[in-house]
Amino acid sequence: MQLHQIVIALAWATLLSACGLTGEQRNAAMQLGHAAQSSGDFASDQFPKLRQMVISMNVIDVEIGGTRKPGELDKNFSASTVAIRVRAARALASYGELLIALVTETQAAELQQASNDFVSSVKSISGKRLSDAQLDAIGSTVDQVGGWIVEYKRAEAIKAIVPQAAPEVEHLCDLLINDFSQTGQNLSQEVDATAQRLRGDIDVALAEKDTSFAERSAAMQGQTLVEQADAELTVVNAQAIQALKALKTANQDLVKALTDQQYNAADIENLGEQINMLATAIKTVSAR
Amino acid sequence: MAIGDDLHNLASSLLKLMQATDSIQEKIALRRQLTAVLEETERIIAVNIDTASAEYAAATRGIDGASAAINASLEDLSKVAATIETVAKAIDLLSKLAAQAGLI
Repeated sequence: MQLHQIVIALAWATLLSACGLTGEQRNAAMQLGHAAQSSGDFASDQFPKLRQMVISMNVIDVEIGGTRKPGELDKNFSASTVAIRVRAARALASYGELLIALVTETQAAELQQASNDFVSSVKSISGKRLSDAQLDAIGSTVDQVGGWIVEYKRAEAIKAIVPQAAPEVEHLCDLLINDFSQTGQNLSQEVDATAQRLRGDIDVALAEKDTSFAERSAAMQGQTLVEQADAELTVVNAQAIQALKALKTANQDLVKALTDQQYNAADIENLGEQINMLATAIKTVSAR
Repeated sequence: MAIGDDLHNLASSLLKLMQATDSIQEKIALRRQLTAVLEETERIIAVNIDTASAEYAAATRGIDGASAAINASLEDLSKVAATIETVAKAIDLLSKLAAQAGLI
């Protein structure tokens, strides 16, 4: 190989390796991936749980002769309404999982095997003209250049995909925040309204003298359900909103970090903390 | 979210009044008002849920598209090793041809 060919090859290799992700970018993408996965997993579990809570509270309401109509047990929580949201939450979790895979994918084992095969092929054609040391050098160069190409392709993919997906991720976070907000005029406010209705109907049922023992017993079960619903809304959902807000900010930060290598994605650390607090809130309320 | 807060607070105030009175007639009258507030709340929620469902579906399509792009990139990464393997096989083939021709 001529000197100028070696210089060109080295220049290409340096250029390729410089086009990879910085440690900060990689960390930011990884954290976002984990958070998207956790938030998506949480949301896909939480919507069916909230639906079940609403149905259970309405069943009790009907049993105690309350104001809920028997045909409206899943009021505003139809199976199709929940299914659309679970599907969206699964998409967010899957995006997070794939983002982690893309960040961590090194192809190290595959490249090592390929460079080993390459060396044995070269060995067979070169006979004894190349020493073992020379063959080893060829193998490690092939392996290293392969690694640089993988790094380059990975960085290009992340820099193209993440900014493009960012508005959708952000919009989905907003939708989930509205649905988990107790006063967001969406699903969690339905849970809240159902609990308020049941509280009122329990109050009347327990005050009326001709309420039967069975109805009084059902009313007490209803009281327990209302308290569980309140805890879910004010502890778990409230923390999920904080985590989703942090996810939104981290998503914006990652886009900035990918376009500006000097950008310090400080909000990424807050994201991990919010996700941990969500896990704690879930354990506190429901021992999940 | 001001309307959501207002409706929630109004219902909570009516509930407190219900729980504070011992008169069953007053409780029933207050419950009628509470039910009216909750019916209006649920009507607004129903409209918002339908709108949000369409937006969820659109966002899901967008995120699925990004996931498909990541899958394609992961496949592309695996092609680097596959390309090296292809070159190795080509060298093997050359080696066999050269041997047949008595060149090595």
